[in-house]
Amino acid sequence: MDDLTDRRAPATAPEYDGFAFRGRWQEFLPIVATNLLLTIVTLGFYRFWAKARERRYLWGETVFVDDRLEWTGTGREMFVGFLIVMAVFIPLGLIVQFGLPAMIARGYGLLAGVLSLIVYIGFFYMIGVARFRAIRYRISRTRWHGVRGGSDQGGWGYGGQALVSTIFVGLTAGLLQPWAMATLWRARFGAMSFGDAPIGVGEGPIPKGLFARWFLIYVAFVGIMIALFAMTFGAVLGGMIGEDADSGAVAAVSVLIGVFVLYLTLPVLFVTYYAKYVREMVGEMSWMNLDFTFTASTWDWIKLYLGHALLVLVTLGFGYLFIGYRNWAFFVCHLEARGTLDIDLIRQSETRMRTDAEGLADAFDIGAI
Amino acid sequence: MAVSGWHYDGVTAARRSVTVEVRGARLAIFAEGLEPQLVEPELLRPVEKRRDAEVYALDDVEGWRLGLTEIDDALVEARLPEFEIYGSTIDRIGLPKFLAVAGAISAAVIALFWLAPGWLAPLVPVETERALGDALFADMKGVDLCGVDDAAASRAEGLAALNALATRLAPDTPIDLGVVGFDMVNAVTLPGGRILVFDGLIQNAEGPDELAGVLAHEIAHYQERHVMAAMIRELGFSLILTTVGGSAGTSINDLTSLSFSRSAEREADAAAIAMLDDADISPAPTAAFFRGLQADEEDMMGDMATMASFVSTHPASEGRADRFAAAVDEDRDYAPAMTAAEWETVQALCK
Repeated sequence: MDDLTDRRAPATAPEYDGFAFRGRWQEFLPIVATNLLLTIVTLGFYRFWAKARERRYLWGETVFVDDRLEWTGTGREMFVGFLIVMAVFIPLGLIVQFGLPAMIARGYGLLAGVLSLIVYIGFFYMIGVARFRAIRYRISRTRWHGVRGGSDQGGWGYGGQALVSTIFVGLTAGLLQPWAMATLWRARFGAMSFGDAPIGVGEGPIPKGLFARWFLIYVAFVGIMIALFAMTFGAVLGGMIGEDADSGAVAAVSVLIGVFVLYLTLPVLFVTYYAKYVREMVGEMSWMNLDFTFTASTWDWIKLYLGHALLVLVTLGFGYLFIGYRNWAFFVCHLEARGTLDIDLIRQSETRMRTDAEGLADAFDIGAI
Repeated sequence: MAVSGWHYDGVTAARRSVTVEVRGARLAIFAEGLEPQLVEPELLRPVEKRRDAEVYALDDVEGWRLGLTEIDDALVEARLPEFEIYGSTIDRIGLPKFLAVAGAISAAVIALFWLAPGWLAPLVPVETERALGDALFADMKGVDLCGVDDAAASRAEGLAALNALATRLAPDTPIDLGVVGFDMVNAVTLPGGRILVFDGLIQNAEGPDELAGVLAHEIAHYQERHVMAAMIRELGFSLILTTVGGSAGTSINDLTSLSFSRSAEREADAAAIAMLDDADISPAPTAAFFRGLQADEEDMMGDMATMASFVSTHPASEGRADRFAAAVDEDRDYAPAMTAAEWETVQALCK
């Protein structure tokens, strides 16, 4: 294949920022509509094939540099993955639900306690493994120019890292969450490759500003609670002194306002943090000579979620079928790749093509990002 | 007459323009910078029909792709395989046909799951059902079982009166009766023939005949194995496993959430009418009781909280009260279910 003479000039990515989504909802509608019908008449078994069909469309309408992506995952392999997961988890679930109470009833309380702790920890460990495998599955079933991605790792180490991080986060009352999220992002995407080139992720200290936005959630929470307490306390105190006859009503209203503000402020602050997190983490990533950027602002994310909610409401629930579509379009539209790409230098991935499918992750219902 | 497009060889990501021609039974692929490839059309796997190209793969060469953007040659076109839409099986059968067939099979499976408990229940040995009932009963903690384990003479009399009534209604069926101190118009039948009557039912009854009708109805549920069927249907596997596991953890609330099917209710009503007839007890008060329930259902005011309970576990069949009323023989001289003195001791059980 040494056809240097024939080689064209290296393709320069960004006429249109490297990624584009060409899908149209009118084309997606017949896919999800027939999927829904088929899923119903098969008592849910078609959902694996339905997922594969949806992804084939979404990937096929996604253009990277000069050609469309191709989804090569099949419904059959996802179904087999699901069966494997069920074969492991159903007996385990039965033991937890019935075996452990039976042990306690027969006086083996300590042993049952130790066993349930092991199962509990094992479950959290498997969440990490499943998350890693979900990404590995998706990247290995994604083809572009005939080339696919993959990973040489099985996610077992990642599962351990995720478990330890979760424990640290718990021990610090959540304050270490940005650190955990950033290092885990780097760990899982850094283990992936596409073609023969690894995916590059950031190193060193985690991106600036993440902790600030995370702490803001804490500050807002404490602030609102103090304000709430002060208002309620003031109203009650006023009532006791006798200056204010309606102190009870004032206290109740202030509690209502406080709770409302809390429920409105905290999710918005979380999205603010999350938007920054995704921008920073994608912004660190690279592949070949391309650097990635993610452009979605907090407001973009809020619009996405409000759009989901409105769509589902207005369509009496049927809009739910389009959430995957909207998420994918959002992801692709905000993803940019800059740099030059010498396509002819990319070689096929030599990672093993795993067939454990996404079943492990689907059982936990965890998305890839 | 031209077939053209692009090609990836699967080794590198390099894209090559190609033209395709027919060579005998095979397709010849001319890619720039590569030797011409001769491919058996049967080995081509259709990947997807994209907006810009029809894409084919070769299964034994990873990543090998042939994308045809222009297919203006009937000979080549005839040799290209068809694309899948819904999946090979469904495509072969056709979507409408598959929907109809799969829908029918699924409906049959659901019906089977619904009907299976009724078929399975009679297969459960009586001893097993009794053991299950005993396990459930033994686990009932915090329930005020009036009269049971109580040596007081008045309670013994009340229980004796109740048991005598049960024996009169069903001489050949051993029944364990108990009264629960709940202000709820209901009665539950445990597996194995243990019937728990709620005190609310006794207090709200106009007389012992009304209680006899409800009791006959509950006995019929046991005799017809409806209790076992309802257990299998609603608790299914987990019930058996919890019982085996040693801790059923069932509460009286779980039992009152069990409900019978309407057809089971009709069967129990018919059996209850026959039982009352054999025991020479008038079905008229029972008819009045069910009529009261119906009225209550229609006018959800009144004693809703207490009265609705029986209806929730024993779904009313259309014309239930009428069937009891129709069974009344105006010329017959019925015997009362128990004496006034006995009825007093029954009413005093939870006092």
